[in-house]
Amino acid sequence: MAKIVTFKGNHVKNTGIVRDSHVLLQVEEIGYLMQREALTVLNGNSSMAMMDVYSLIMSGNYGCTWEAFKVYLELKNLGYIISRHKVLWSDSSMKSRRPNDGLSNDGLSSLSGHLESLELRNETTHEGLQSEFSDSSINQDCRMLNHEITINDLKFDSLDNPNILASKNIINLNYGATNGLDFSMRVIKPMFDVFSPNSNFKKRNPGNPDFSLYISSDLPIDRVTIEDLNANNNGVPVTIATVDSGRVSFFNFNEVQLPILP
Amino acid sequence: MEPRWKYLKAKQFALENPISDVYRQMQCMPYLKSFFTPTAVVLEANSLQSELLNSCCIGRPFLIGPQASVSSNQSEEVLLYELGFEEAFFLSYELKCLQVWQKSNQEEILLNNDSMWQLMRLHKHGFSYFYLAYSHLRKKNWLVRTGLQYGVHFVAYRHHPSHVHAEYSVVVIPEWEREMQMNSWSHMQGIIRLCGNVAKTLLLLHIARTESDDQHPQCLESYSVKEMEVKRWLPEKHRMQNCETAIKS
Repeated sequence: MAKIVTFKGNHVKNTGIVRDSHVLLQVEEIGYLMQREALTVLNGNSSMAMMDVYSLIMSGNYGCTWEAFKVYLELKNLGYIISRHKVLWSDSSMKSRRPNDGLSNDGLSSLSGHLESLELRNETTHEGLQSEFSDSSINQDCRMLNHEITINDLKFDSLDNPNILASKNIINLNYGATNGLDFSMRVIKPMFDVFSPNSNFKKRNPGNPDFSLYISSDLPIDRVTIEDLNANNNGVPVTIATVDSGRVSFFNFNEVQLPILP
Repeated sequence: MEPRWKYLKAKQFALENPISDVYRQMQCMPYLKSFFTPTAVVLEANSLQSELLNSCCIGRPFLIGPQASVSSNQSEEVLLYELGFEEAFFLSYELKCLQVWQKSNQEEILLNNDSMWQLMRLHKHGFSYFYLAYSHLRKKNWLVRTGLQYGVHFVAYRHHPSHVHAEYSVVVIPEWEREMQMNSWSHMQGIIRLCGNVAKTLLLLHIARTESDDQHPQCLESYSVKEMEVKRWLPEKHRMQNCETAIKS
């Protein structure tokens, strides 16, 4: 994640989440803004290169896979407003009540504790934001699990081993959003919540998303999974996205009843 | 997608001439006689029977000419019809207006529903779930034809194809053999693309069953069907609509 240090331009209106008056960016948001040359990210004394950010995404350790990133870019470039599934845009409504899902104030204090010292730089573009990179994610538990990944030397490409899959399930569950791959053992959840392009979007009161996005992999999704996704999403429809050969496609699966004809 | 009627009064005509009437007329006729082959069921039909078969899109006709006719009335044109297994079983099991005979050596044996089911199961993989899907739609009075030209299992029409374009391309997905019928996203992408090009909506019929024994047609009672429409969502098209809605609100 990255914390925005210098604010410029309008991207902040619909990108990044607000926690304790800081605006924090998820890794896919960092990737998107850097592609648009609207963001520089500082890590220690140097700024991060585009390839560094892509490597982080490809590692899959920050809750967003490369597939999910492609989907994110596709929609973001068309003006849609996207958040991770069930991650609040702003904690201002949180402060009046304690939520059970996703993020909590504990995460915030751990985040501050992990921020590394940084240098500020002036941005030449009008849209320029600057941010400090942090290797932690918002949830303290996730950071510990990141260590588990390296200690056990799990490789994300060896997906056949069921033990690896089981460990991945536990890791992914704690992120609150999964990386969208189809494993039978895990709790299947959408990856993103998507809002229509809207210049009046307010983080404090975003309303319900227009739909949630589940990212599917090799096999077309089965009926039971679709029904579960739709049933567990509080009335918000779920669209399925798939990435193949660099192309992103979106599908809606709707249960119907064909009419009985005369 | 709304039904696309082919001419101005087509919808009216369809309402006044429902398919269920055709089925009733067929049930009042004497039995049609047909013969089983490993790929099709073949029957002879006179002009009245042909008219009924044509009007509910069952079977494909081919003319054999009066010389080869086995009917006693030589002046009547006789058509041979080829029926698919699902069509033949539907006429026999549901409408009870067809008899299917098997020729062996010099004899002809009348097949009962059980024997017919088993023969058809033997010669066509997946016959049990294809038949379930076919009869599910037929019982709702939709006309169902082969979807071969469209890369799918069936196409479904609201009424005769001369009055209306097919609305649905149907793919049957049994839950116990899912990958056999839909084995990858590129497969599904191809089908949806083609459906779009021919202005049909993809309909998936998900079949579930509580018993795996499909030796007898009674197994159909343990099967259930769920209908699901699949549509592609195009973000480029929807963002302008949503923008306009957002600006108005």
